[in-house]
Amino acid sequence: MSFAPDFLLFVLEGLLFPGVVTLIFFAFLFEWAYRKFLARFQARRGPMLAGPSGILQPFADFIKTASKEEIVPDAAHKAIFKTLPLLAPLPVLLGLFLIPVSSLAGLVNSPGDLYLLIFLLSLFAAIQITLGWASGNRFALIGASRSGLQLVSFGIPLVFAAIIPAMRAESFSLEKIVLSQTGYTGYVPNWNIFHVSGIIAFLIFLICSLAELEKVPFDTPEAETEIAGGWTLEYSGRAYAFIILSEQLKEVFMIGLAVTLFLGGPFGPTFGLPSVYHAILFTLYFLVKSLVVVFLLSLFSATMARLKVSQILEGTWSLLAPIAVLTVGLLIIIG
Amino acid sequence: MNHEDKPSTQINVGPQHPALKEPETFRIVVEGEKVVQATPILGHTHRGIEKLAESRDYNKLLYLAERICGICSFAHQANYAKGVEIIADLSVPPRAQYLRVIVAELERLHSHLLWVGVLAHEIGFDTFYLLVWKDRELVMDLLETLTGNRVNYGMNRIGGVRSDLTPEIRQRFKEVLPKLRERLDRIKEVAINDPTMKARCKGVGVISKRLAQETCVTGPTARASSINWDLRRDAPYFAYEDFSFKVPTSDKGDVHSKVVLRIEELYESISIIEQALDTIPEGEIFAKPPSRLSGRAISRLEAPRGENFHYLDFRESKTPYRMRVRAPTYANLASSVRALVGHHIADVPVIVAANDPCFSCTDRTLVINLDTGEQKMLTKKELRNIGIKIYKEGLL
Amino acid sequence: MALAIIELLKNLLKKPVTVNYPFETEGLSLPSRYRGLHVVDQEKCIGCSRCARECPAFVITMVPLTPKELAKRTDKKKRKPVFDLSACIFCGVCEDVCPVDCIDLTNKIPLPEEDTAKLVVD
Ligand code: SF4
Ligand code: SF4
Repeated sequence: MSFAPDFLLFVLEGLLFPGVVTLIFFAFLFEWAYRKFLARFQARRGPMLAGPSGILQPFADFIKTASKEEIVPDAAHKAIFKTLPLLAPLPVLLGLFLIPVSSLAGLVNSPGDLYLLIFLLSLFAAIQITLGWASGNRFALIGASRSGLQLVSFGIPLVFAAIIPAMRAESFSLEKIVLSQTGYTGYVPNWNIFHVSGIIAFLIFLICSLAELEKVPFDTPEAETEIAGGWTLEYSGRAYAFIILSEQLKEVFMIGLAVTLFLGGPFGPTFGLPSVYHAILFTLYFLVKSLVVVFLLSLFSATMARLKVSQILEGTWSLLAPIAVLTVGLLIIIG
Repeated sequence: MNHEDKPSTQINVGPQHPALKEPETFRIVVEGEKVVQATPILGHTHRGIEKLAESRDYNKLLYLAERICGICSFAHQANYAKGVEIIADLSVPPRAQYLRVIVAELERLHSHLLWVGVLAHEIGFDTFYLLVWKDRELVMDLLETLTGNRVNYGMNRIGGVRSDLTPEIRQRFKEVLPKLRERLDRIKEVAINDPTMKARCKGVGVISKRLAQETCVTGPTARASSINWDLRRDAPYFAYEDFSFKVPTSDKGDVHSKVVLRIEELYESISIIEQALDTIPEGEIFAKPPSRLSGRAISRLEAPRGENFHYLDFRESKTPYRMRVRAPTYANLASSVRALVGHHIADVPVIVAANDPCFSCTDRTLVINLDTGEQKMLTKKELRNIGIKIYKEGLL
Repeated sequence: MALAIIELLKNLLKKPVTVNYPFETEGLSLPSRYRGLHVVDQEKCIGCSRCARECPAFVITMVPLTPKELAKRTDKKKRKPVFDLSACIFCGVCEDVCPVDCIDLTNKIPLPEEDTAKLVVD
């Protein structure tokens, strides 16, 4: 009989907190923060009308896009074109369940979290490529192929950067990685970012997340002024709204991963409060840390121009990947 | 085309494409990411201005000429006015000439700054684009105080200009111009030194001197390919012979050298405006034109984008018998299409934007034989023979 | 690049350049030469129709005065100019050519209307 309440709690957690609803809320929040930061860097105002300071803008955009007419081009592969966009957020949500948000462990956890996450990253790219291919547009096809190229070029440095915290925690489980970062040395928390190899890995990870999220300077698969939106070009209405949603969830995913791996996850001082409040405190810490990462990402993409695919390939293979490998070596040597 | 061994795809950049703010098609054949062939298709924005011109009197035409281009509106209007003044043999008072120089150089400032911003946007550098446009507002405000509008200034009239420079406005200029120069230093620094800017523009879209000569490019595009030609210096009009200024050139011919060249031109523009403010003569600002005109004139002027060409033919009337306009983009288009070949798709918007194209100005004529419905393209030789014939018979 | 980052961070602390226009107009002003909404002093106008002749966009039509208006006039004015601002290009020629200076292009910006008929002013 004790099974039912447990299961109910799990469903509740999965749906509401820290589950789907919270995650979607985070997605909109981070998107808003990203846009706002970018706008302020550029001496603009950014979203400002929907809700206070325009905080509801991503939500309004979602509703507006979803209520638009959906156009299916003749050249498209109809079945994939219609269904895959609606399924696109699911793998991202699955990945997000693994990330610790309100407690030291994710909603779902296993000893091999990191493997699963890295596999999921390739799955996202595969979905993008399929979406681009299914729309039967030449620009979309170019975008899809660029998406594939990015996956190939950023995969290696990303994996190496993600492995460094795992090596320091001696585990592939995200829970263990977070646990290894609790505690203090003097007044400095034991986060991976305060370690020589950690900071390099963190920077590499940030660069790779920009590429994963297709933001400037690595937004080649969508490059508006070159290929007019790339693989998303033909999608409209509800399908496009879901594609945007999955992209925004991916933003939460990458940022959450960065926080988990390098910034000590949701862990922070608890001020001796009873453990019921920990969930709220931890969520707050997670939010603050994430917003710092959002800030760094937007700063990074504000100072750069979009690179060419050939330049990206060259940069990752001749610069980023060797540095990532060397950092792993460094960690092995100095421990 | 011998590309059957490799898979090649044809893509149409335009008429609706985010990189081109105006409708124009570039039919591009690519192999993977590489462009192997590019053809421009003109005519999407043909507005029939020249036909319309034949039904307006010369005063009203000023405002039609102004609307040929939204950005170099002063250049077109002034060029048209210049043409009418040549026909009417009207001598324009020196103060008006100076005022025309001031507005023309302000327009060059705003046009080049706009272009730097557009280029930055094409390469995805939106921060630079917005910050450059922020500084461009200084110029727009000056234009607004002097002429009364941000674009389509309505500054010219046949025989002079419409609004005068007051001491307060001169004061305003004196305050803003040093500030502008300061901002320009900053823009130049970013444009030259920023690593991503360099990565995207250096060595891209090279137009060699030979190609430039073959395709008859004008303006900054020509000067970036070491063709040292500037109408302001080489065929002075208005009051340009009174000022000392340099004409920057470059021998690289790539997009990056065009950025640097345009920014250097802006320093010269500021210096010309300052000289004009200091030495502007007192007096009338316009002379009264005659009511009927007769004669033909070719009027040329160095617009921000290159050489602006107006041909006017009046036959004892107030309305022209024929008016013909050639905007600089038309001259520069062929070179950029040739420069596209061999580059990546990612370079297409950059190379096309490098000439500061303005397609609405470009789409001027559409020749269709109504009886047969046949469209005929004249060869270079035929054109040359027609030209010789016209010249011999003294039609021009 | 480091300089660029510093400049961006400075922007973060400064006020945005964009002005939230219809809701706040602080620091916005139009120069006196701005060519905005027409104001016509019909009392002063002598009905010479020069403005209608010179207008490059054929915006101005000369409309006969109503008997009531006619009764009020002491001079020979029979017609008055009516401006269809939906076609106006705000060039200011009418202001220039009017012999009695009764047209004034003010600093007001004409508001967008759904119905072009509302843009006809006299
Ligand atoms: S401003 Fe120009 S277009 Fe408008 S009514 Fe006056 S003359 Fe005509
Ligand atoms: S030019 Fe002046 S006086 Fe003559 S009709 Fe027009 S507004 Fe009236």
